[in-house]
Amino acid sequence: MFGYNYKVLIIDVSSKSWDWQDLEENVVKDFIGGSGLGAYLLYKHCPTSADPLSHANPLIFCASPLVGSRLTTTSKFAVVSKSPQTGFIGDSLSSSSIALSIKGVGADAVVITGASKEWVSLVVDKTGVRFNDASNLLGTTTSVTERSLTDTLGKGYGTACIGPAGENLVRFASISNDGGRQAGRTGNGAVMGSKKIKAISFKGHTKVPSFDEKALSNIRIDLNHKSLGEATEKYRTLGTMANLSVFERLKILPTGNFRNHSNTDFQNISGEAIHAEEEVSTSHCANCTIGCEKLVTIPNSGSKKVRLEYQSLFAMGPLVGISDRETILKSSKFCDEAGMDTISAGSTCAWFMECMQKGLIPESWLKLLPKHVNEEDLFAQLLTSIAERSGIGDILAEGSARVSKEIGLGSDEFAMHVKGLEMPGYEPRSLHTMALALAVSTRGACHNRSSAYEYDFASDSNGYEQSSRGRMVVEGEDYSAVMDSLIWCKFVRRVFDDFYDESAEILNNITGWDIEPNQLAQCGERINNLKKQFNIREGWNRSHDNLPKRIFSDPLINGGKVSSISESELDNMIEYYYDARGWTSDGIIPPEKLVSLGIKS
Amino acid sequence: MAINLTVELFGNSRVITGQKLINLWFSKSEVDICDVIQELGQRFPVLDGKVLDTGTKSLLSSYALNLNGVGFKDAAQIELADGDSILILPSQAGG
Repeated sequence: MFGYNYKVLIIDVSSKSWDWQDLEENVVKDFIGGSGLGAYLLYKHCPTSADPLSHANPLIFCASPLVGSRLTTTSKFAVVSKSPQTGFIGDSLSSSSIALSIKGVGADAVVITGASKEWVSLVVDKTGVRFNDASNLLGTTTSVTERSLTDTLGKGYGTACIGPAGENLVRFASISNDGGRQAGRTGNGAVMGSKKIKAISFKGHTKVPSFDEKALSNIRIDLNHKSLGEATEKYRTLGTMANLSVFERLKILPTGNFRNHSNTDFQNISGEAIHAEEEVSTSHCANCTIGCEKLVTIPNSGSKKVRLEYQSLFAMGPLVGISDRETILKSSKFCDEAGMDTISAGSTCAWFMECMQKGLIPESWLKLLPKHVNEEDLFAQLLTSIAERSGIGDILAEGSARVSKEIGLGSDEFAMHVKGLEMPGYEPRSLHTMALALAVSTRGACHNRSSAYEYDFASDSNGYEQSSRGRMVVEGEDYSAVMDSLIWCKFVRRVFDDFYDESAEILNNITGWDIEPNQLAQCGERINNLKKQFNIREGWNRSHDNLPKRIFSDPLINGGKVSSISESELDNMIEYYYDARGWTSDGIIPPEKLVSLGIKS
Repeated sequence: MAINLTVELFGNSRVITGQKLINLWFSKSEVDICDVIQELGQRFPVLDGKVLDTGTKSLLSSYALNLNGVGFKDAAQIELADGDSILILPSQAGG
């Protein structure tokens, strides 16, 4: 057996029992691993209409065939559950040595079902699964929890844990691992909290062999070399925070809750300025040659460091209209330690601060507001109150989609989310392929499951037809699904001359299979269709594929340039997208399509 | 007729030169991107091999061109006029 353990570890925290189930080869040939295998297992183990924060919703950790291959950027894993933000599929990826530990315990995936009555810390190693009392860890931050478990368990254990936000069921709570890396989006931390699991630690004891280690070794050397070339220059030098100054210059940096472009100068928080003026060091995930992670020392913090990337910089800064560097660094650090998704946290606060400015806050809520001296102070206190679910934070912890429905008064028109997941830092009024991708993504407003912005940044992007954008998003989604299932880091994507050819060759060298590049591409299509079919099962309808009203009603005006997208333009693109997918005009997957992809509903 | 151009640097190109904006002046009426890259390479040798290739007078694939902050362009598509701004940006869009 090569590449896989062909085993799934099923843990029931209600009964404190566990079992091993076989994972059939045809399943992994169809869904690969990571996000794809997670989607398959979610469909199988999550009962229809399960409350995401109930015992019925499984929490699934998935390794992949490339984990353990020591190929660059492949020490990654997926976390999948029904999202408490969207009610649809929620999948997020994280990285580093814990991925090796998950696979090293003999599992390709770990499915956690049920819910514990008391807080537990799970330990998985060669002796089995232990359900340790976690009461001493309650209220601790993610870094303290991880350190504490490392001290207790000893070396060799990798830990994924939640912070106070996950304990308090903040709907956009994240899961943290390997010193602050986050499975950030879609609220998997809240699902973990609902099961009263503070942490899960793995210590591997087996290694899955590859079919042709010699061939793989040559590929590894070649990829390592290429990964240090021009294809990854930005990630290696400034990291993704380099996006900020570019986006600001191109007027595609969303600011002030996606209101018209701000007059605030954000150059002070550009990646270039931070690198020039702050102490910045580089960190690598396990087996990664690129090192996109930039650790910035926070001023006036006793040398604390924050792992800073573009989306956190955007969400803690321009999105809420804040340009003070120290506030942004501290806020980002706070979210990581509390275990909260920075994008959803920042967006919910940005929406709420706009509601305050417009006088839309119900009178009964005013007494719940924190006392503050300025906007920066207000923002910091809102984040704290959300993580603690204290005062107004208990309301905001539900996220902008739910709270805007409660307030009403038109506030839902500027709650910047899709399907309940808040929007990342890409401006859909200018980036129209991205606009389509944000609207139709199965996990809500997501930039990672299509990489559609790549098409908008191409040299001929102004001439795209709407029909082309439909096909591009399909292509980007399927390609991303394969990346997220093998799992490659997206930052290595330009290293490949032919992604499907090279990935198929690598997969064959790992598994001993004889899979063709076109079969791998079809896996991407199959995975996206299964994710969509899960959403349909859970109540998706055509109205869910949309963008916030503000995107249509408030064009961006910068000098003489107007950037906009109308609802009818988006609708047309969605029709082309459904058509390119082979779906009905209502976005439903025809039965024959499911059959042709080997998906049985 | 002379041509004045502005080059705006982003990403590591800004960090290694310490320059955000560079004004270029050409004493001829027609200027193309090769002229701009050659001039940049002469004024900032540190860019050669990291951002541009003075031998081929082209940008490395890790960088992209944008004219006046409006549209991304291949070098061959760009027609420069007096007063234009040429943005040199990281070509990797992810993050």
